[in-house]
Amino acid sequence: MTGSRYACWVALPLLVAVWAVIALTVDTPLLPSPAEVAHAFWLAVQSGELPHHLLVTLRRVLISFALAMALGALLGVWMGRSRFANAVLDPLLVLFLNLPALVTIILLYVWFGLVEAAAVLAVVINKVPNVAVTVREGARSLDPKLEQMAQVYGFNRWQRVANVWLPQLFPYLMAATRGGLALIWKIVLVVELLGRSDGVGFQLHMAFQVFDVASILAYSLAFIAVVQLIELALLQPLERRASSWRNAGMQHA
Amino acid sequence: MLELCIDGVAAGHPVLGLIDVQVRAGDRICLLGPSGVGKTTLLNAIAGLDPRLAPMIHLQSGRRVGYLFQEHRLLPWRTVRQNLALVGASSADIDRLLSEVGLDGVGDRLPDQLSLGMARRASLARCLAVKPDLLLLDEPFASLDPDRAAELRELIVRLLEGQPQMALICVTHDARDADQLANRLWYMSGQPATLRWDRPLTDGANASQICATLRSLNAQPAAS
Repeated sequence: MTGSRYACWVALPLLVAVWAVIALTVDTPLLPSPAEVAHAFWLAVQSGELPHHLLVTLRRVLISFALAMALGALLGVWMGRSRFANAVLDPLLVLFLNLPALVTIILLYVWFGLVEAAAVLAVVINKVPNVAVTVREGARSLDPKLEQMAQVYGFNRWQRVANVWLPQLFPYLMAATRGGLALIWKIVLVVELLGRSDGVGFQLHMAFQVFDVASILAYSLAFIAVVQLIELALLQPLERRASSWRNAGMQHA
Repeated sequence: MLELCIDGVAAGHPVLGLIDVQVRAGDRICLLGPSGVGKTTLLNAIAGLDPRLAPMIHLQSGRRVGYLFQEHRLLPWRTVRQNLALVGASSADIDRLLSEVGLDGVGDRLPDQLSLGMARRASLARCLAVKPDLLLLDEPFASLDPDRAAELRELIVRLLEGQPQMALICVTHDARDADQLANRLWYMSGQPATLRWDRPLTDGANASQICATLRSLNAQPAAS
């Protein structure tokens, strides 16, 4: 048990070490060493390019994430609560769940041109079905006994949503958030690569044209770090706060 | 004053048959019957939770119902105070109610931090917070140890004495509860269930009489 605390520091350094050894052995610009990637990263930070494109991408991620979560949660709750809504919308859900992200992106660019709205919409359409499916699961598992209680005591719609539904849906919303963030930033990069002239995806595209592998890795690692930072600084504290009541029972003998 | 009138039958209802009764202000009713017969179903119907039975339930307009479910059904993610505030109790009301049910100083605890008996009293405080004209209690003494059950019984008796106009329907499986709480006895049996007994408990009635009555009721084969 004592060893497992530090176990998370084993795999990544090992990966970097293996990478360094291989890079040193093959000695080609197509596989830069960790030091060269760090150098490329530092240059990109100093020139201001990396922060600029990182922020552009992050903005797209957050906007499409917020839209997808809001739309998906509404749809999920509606489908979870109403058998009729579920019967009508479920085939659409299946269709969009299995529609490749690339197809949505290409179609929207073709129809609306290479504009920001099309880019964001493409990401939203890709993500909404996942959120809806997860939240629908949550809405189906809402405790009917608490529903009865809310009805007897005449809770209005807002009281019901904020005090009865949200705390029960929270784990499902968190699951959708986690999965959503991971999926959305990957789709945003594709969207940027195919039709925007800024953002991390666009920079990756430029680096790909000249086989600048060091820059590709530097940008990718920077964005992974940002997403991990959101997880640690935002999602985990939020989750601890919101689920603190779960541990309360332990205090009672 | 008439509080509640139940008349007729919901055709094809799986549990309840013909039920025709009236409840007046100040009625203290204990509802007994074999387990699984539909006592909770009837309480749910009176509380407006069964749309199929809604046509036969006539609650006087403006009358408020407080319902003590078998489980406490407090929101586990809200403190006791917040749970009471949600049904409209002011801060001063909450202090008074918690004190009345003997829960001084536990308002800021979460329901999971309370024992079963405390949680049930917190839930009772929530019932009272809506200033009910009709109080529905579903097995309020079940799964409490005898001392806690006796405490809660005394507490409810005291509360009822302070509110002579409040009507009570209390589901129980122990005839002695009726002796302490009720001035009227309902007995429900059969399938679909009907009220086989609706009888006031006059001053002369005591626990043994009630028990004898119930024994004889139990002994009778259910009429088809």
